[in-house]
Amino acid sequence: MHPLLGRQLRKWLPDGVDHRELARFLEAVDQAYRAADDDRVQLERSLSLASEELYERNRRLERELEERKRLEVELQQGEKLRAVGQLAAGVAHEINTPIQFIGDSLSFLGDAFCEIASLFADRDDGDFPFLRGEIPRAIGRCRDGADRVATIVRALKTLAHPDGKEQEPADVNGAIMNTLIVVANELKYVADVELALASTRRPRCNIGEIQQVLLNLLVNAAHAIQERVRGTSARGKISVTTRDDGPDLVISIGDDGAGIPPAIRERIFEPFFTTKPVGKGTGQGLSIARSLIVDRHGGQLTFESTVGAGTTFTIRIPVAGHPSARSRPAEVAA
Amino acid sequence: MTDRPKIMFVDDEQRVLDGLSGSLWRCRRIWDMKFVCGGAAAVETFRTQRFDAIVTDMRMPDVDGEAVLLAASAYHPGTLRVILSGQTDREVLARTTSVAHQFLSKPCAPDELRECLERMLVIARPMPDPMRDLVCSVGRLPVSQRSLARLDELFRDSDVDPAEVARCVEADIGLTAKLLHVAGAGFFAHRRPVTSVAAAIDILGLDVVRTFVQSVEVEELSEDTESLFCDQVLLHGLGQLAMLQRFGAAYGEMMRSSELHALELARFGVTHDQVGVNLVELWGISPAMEGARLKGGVDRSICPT
Repeated sequence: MHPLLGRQLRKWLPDGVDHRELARFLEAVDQAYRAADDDRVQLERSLSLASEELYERNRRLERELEERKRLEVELQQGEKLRAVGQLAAGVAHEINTPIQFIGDSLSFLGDAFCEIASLFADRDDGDFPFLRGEIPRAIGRCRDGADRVATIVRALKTLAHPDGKEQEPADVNGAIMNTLIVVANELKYVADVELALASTRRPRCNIGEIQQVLLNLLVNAAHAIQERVRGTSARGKISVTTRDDGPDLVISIGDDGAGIPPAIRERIFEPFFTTKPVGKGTGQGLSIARSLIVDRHGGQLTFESTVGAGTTFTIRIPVAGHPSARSRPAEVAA
Repeated sequence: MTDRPKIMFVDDEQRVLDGLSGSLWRCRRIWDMKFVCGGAAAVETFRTQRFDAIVTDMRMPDVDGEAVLLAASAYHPGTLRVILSGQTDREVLARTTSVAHQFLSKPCAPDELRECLERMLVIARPMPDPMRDLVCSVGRLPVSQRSLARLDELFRDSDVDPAEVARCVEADIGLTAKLLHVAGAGFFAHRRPVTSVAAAIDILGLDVVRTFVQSVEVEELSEDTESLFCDQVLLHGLGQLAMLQRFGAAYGEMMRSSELHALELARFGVTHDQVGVNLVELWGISPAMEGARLKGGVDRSICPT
């Protein structure tokens, strides 16, 4: 008991009270206090334990919710890609037929003009010399154009190949070339592309997924360069390389764009994280790219960046395939 | 002039036919070309006329390309059959590997089409009729039951090793030849020569190979052909398989004789070596592969053409 309280008690109690009685009484009061104290401590402790547990559960739920949300988005993204793939294959088929007769007809025009020109070979008056030179050139241009359309359609078709969950040895350099054709429009006013495709190995992978990652990184590179050169007439440079490194095939995609500010470097692989204006990026690209490379292929996706000088992303995929592929179920949400 | 090869082109779109007739205008003096709109009209045409070669679109509303080629081979087995399709998916491939000799995809450059036809005509035109009929009507070669079972088992694993599949295919000459045939077709956007079964699998992709294997039906043959299936030499084995498939028990009887060549010539007018060589050439199997042998060596001196 607090000494002050004892003093007060003694002051207020009549003098004749037996001190021993008083001592016992005080002892009893003391005990009552101590017991109450113990109870309170106990109660407080269990309260704090309960709230900690609640907090932990909450955090777990939040994490699960986040994970679920991420999976959902990845799934949606996958479905969207498949739908786009089917659409592209359909469109490719539709375009191939007109390209066939455009090409054939141009070829005929070329042949026919040669015949006609030979009939008038000795005419050098008026517009004849001009037409003799220009008409074949015009036909050649048209054929180049038709060839280019055909190339784009072919690339689009392989890129958006809607089926195939399989991982099998595939031509990564070819996939890079195809992807470059498809993103040509994003790149051509912004950057020149330098290629150094030194690896000839064919890693066991899902080439559609690898192309999806390449597409993402190339578009990001173009955007990073755009950010740096905006308002100037400068062009950037994107370099794409492949090389062998031990058991891995290493693809690097470097740009001399704006670079990634140190403050956000840790966050760029987070789902929904984006620095692009609303409508330009969903914040999904890098998160999905990382998931495809790391989870699906057992590889690595890393980057090095210097603000103002550019960023290089490095993809590593094991040539032999995912190390734990044999123990994994066949169906994996893409 | 009557000696010019007759070639029919079939498409459901008149513009495609007009385009082809234009781009092949240069060939008008060496080829007698007919352009027919629609599958039904095509089938009607070769009821009465024989063509050296036929080039058809795949997807057509009335009678599709597969049906056109089936009808063509039924009327005139010696007709060379080419698919020129804008649709190059697995389904088309699985349906047509046994009826088409060549596969081209739209858009196809005029030179590519011309060279393809020229190459086939050079091979097929000099053949005597029985040989041409026999070689051109070989669709799928019989496949050993053992190989099929083994492949089935391999493909049950979702993570099958392509090298394993290649080894299994190589043990079966029927499968080997067909896979090389299909992979070498212009159908696939590649320009590499196919010089091994592994390369063929690589080009086609495991999915296509699986579809292909699953569509193969085991054929009952009169003879035990296990020894043929792992024949040392592609050409011999192919020729014998094709003849066995075509002539059945009568040929099986003959195979036991030591005078096989003489008997073949007397009875059928062709030898299995010639059939093998012609088949390999018609299917465009790369000479590198042909020479590379499966397990033994190919001695072309014993294969008079």
